[in-house]
Amino acid sequence: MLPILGTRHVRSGENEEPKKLTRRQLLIRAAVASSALTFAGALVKFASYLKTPPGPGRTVLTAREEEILTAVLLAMFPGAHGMPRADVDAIVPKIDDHLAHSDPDARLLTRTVLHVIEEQAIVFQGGRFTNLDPAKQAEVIREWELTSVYVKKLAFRSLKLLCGMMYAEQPEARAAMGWYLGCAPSHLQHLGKASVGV
Amino acid sequence: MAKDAKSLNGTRRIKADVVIVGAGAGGGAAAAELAQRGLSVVMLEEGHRYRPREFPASYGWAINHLYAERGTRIVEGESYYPLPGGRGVGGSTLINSAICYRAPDAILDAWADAGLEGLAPERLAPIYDLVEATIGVTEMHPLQARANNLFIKRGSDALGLGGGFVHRNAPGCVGCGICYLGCPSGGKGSVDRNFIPLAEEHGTEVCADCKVARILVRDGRAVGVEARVVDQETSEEVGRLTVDADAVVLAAGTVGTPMLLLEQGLANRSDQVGRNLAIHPAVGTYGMVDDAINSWDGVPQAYAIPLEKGVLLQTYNAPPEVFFTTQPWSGADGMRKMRMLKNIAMCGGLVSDGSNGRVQLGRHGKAKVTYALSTRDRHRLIRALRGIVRVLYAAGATEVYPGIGDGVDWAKTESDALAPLTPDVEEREMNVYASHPMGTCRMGVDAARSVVAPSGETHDVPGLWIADASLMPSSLGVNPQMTVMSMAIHVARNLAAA
Repeated sequence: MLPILGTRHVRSGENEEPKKLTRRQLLIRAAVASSALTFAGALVKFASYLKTPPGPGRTVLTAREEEILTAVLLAMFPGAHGMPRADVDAIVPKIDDHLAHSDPDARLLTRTVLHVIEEQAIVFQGGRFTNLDPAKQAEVIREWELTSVYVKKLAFRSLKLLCGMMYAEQPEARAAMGWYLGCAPSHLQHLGKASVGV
Repeated sequence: MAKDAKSLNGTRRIKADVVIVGAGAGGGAAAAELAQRGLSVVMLEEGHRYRPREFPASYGWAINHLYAERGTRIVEGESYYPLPGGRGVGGSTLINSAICYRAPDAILDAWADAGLEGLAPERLAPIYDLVEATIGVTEMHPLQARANNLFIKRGSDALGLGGGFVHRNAPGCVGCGICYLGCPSGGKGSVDRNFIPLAEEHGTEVCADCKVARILVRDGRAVGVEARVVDQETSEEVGRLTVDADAVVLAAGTVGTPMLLLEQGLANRSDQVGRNLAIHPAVGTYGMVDDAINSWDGVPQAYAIPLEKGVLLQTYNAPPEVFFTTQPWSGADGMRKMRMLKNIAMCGGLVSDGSNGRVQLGRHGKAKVTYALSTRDRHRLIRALRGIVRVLYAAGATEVYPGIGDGVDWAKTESDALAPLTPDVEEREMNVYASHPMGTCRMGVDAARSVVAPSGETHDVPGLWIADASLMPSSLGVNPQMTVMSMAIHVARNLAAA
């Protein structure tokens, strides 16, 4: 039993009137109990998420996870200031393939982060991440980026690296950044134009 | 003579004088030395063998094909940092920046004083000469360096820090800036371009896609290995290969070699296998520049500044996704900042560590790598960041990210950038990167405190030799590839003479 719920051991022979709960105590207990129930429910729900089979055409990600990942990608890379929006049709299958070849811990971490992003938004934004409007989704992503909780920050960074890795391979994104890949034909053209000696 | 999963399917058994596990810097150099001395050699490599034209210059592809554990290997401790390692014929030389240093004399003298006379500076010097000639080491040409390196040079010159262009084993380099993705021009002298072809010319058989599962031991002596042949695209086992040999040389790297020994409980009477891990903890940071720097253009790491004893600053470039990950750049404002990437100069710093880490068996057959950064090394990292900040401003940066903090606002002045970089900055506040793992099967005279004898043969298992960075008794403080190759040749000569 959780100590905070107020259970106390009554010694044999002790005849003590139970104390009445104050309103404040009652509220605290109700909050703790509902948190515990929510946590337990979340665990059960989370376990069921992980048992769900992959979505159509996917090896790892479920249809739900694909939906969350798509929303996360579009919140990270919405397309602005001359940069293109994330090409989710190309990126999601690549991430699924990457996860398929990763070890079970890496897969679990990525999937867990997706579900936590989705469900945690209910508490802080009043709705699931995928149901939020773009401005609120951007707020959620910002909160994850700037969190001072070290483990949370690292977990998000691993997802962010994966998303960024695939986004940076979009030719339009590269072109907008002015980033060219060395030794590729585009690079050799660049060298010719810039007359850089080698 | 190279073989891979396509030609090694089914069950096979072959015989050689020596089987080498791992085709990286150590394995490649050892194979060439042994083969030239007339021994028959078989090399087994877990990863695939690629030709330069097969490298697509893609970070996503490289992570999946050229990095150990698909780039997910980390060091755990007070904080977590990435510990990259190479995979494939060429090992970590496939993904390094081709920087070449000889070990400082002070380090080699200390090793010699501890009874490793074969590694004394004067004994190792001719081997270094041989290595440099084989892998094509030359001083970096400034024309290949281009803007990022020249910008950092400007800062170093302004502060009188005595930096200089590094020596590299990249005789055909065209400065395309993506050494860490596999060199697509073939200009880098990774060992698959020199030592390994040399070994093959002398009869060595290279088997890629072969993950060694077990070292065979009979009557207390190593007599061969068993390997699983794995298709790299499907990750499916397609065959089994057994190599019977008079000697087994482990060159699977600082993580891979102790893992093989720990899985079988071999060569570990001292309980030192996996212990004494040294890395070069590294940090990096960025400065905004008015003119386009295009940090991805030119050699990624061409200029180095010896800031103080044990702290070496080196230029580098980070691909956009890595940069994006370390900064809070998402959403519309993040998109605006990503367009500024071409105006960002980058420099890093590594420290020669005295901290101790450990490689242990982890879950799912992976290594669990732990490491405790000492206060001295943490302070060195902070001083490295302070040094980089000063160099960036001296070179003309207009804003600098000091390497700690959330990155929302970069410092507009040098004093603002230096202000938070005090000795009480915690490890978790920095973006630490673990480079150059060394020392998990250290060489030593005392069998109770080391794994490998001065010859390179393990103290406990006759016929079992080690020839990679795990041999190193202490941290080097400089990029280690040439020392790994030189020590491997030293070991190979002892083996051939045994």
